[in-house]
Amino acid sequence: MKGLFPFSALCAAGAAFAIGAAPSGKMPQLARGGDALSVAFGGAKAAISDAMFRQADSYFHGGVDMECSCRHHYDGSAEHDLDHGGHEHHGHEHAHGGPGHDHDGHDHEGHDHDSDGGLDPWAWINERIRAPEVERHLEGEKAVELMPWFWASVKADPHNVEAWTTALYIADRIIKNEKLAASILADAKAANPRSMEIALAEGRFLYRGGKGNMAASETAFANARRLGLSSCGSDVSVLSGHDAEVFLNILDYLSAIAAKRGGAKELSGYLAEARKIDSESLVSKNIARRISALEPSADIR
Amino acid sequence: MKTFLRQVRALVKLSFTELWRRNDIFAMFVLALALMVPLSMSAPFGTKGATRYLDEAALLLVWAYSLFISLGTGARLFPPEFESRTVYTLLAKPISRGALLVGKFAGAVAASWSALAFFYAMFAVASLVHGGFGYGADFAQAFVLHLAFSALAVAVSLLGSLLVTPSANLTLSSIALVAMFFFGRRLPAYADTVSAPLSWLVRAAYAVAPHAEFFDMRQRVVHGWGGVEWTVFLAVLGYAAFYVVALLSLSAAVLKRKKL
Repeated sequence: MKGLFPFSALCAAGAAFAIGAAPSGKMPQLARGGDALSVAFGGAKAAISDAMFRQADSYFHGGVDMECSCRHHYDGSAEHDLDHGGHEHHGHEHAHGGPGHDHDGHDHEGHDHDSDGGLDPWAWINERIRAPEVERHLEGEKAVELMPWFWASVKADPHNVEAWTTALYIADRIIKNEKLAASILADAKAANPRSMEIALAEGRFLYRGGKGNMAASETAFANARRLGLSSCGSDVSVLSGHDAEVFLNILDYLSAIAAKRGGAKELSGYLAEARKIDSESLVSKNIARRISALEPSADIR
Repeated sequence: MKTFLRQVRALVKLSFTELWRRNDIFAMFVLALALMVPLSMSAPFGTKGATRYLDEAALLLVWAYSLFISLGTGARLFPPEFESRTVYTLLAKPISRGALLVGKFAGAVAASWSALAFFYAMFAVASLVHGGFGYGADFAQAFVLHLAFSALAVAVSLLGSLLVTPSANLTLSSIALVAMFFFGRRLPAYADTVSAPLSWLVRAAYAVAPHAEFFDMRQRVVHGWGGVEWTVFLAVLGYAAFYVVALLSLSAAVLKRKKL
């Protein structure tokens, strides 16, 4: 019995070594690659990464876990970066990337102690001990407080694209630290070289609301489009859900840049792709509007 | 009365000395340093200046340690006396069972409070060193509520030590307090989602279980939300006082019926 502990420890060490030194040939079921440890703990790592990401979101709201009514603060759509001429907004809800309008720092009227506790004195105390659920966002350099959680999130799961793109947005748009944002972007690309979302985020970072490096951002958006096309075998009609939204976003940017340059032919190609995904989408309408602006006589039905 | 106070004072001194002689606190302090120093030196994405995550981690450690100390101290008050039969000597002094209980409890609380004060002092020093201590009334309130929680935890484990074995007592007490700390405020919502017999149990637990979450002001302290209203603060202190008195009364009843 006395020798059981060293024996168990030896077995555990041996097993750990064997797992670590397992043949590097990847098993076919590994969608994202990785070693045997990734197979064993992949789900746990993703769960931890998500938890860290949620903690960052909570920190953004002053430690309060709440549904933020400010839909755009983590909104990755192109709606504020691009001039949509007062048209209706492309209202997707996914939370990553970079919005064009910052409202860090303002407090919204929330449901501060909205319950009087009724007949439940414990609820009455709990509501008042905890921070009030008013929307308060970390502003400016204070948002650096979010970085450790994003860092932990992407360390736990380097393929958590949402964490990367949100960290990039916070660094660039809220902390306004371009160097930090560039460094996060480089790490994100290294960890996810085939992610069209990261490529889209790079494009947005370079685009800077239309005031950035147009040529570089167009290259990044074109790369994002290429990655998107390669993921669906060049048939964009099979893209659905989130991937479709991201691809439409890419086309929105690419068409805006092409329109500035007067590239009517490219616009037609983008319109065809956007219509294959969703002919009624706002991006399809935007591209059609851009073509009309360039060639008023063009038939874009 | 004078004799009672003298006896209680002697028991307090005993508990206090015992805790600090055991070196548990220093071991925990070293462990905290081992965890916090590397954490404080990290620079996520090369950034500096983030302190809230450190404060949160440090306060969580303080909570974990204080729970460990309070439960451990409370749980060790009577079983060793019963096992070594020194309780007979104590009761033959003469000292009443009531005085013994109050004295032991006060001693454990004093010892736990001293450990807690030590940890909070270390937290304040670390905050000063790291970037300036920017806390005000909220920090004072958090500390006082934590003291109240510590007393409540001692009372819980003291009662448990008279009812079940030491290991069962520590397990059950820590499960009850940790579960309430993390999930206490969500119990009514959970009760709404389960069927009748279980929902009654959950609601009963919500009504009578020790609401450890009332004493947790970490969120307000770390994120600078400021202190709580004084009425709420006093209500929580009142809750703790009521709960401690109720648990001590139960403990007294159990001790009185115990065949020694």
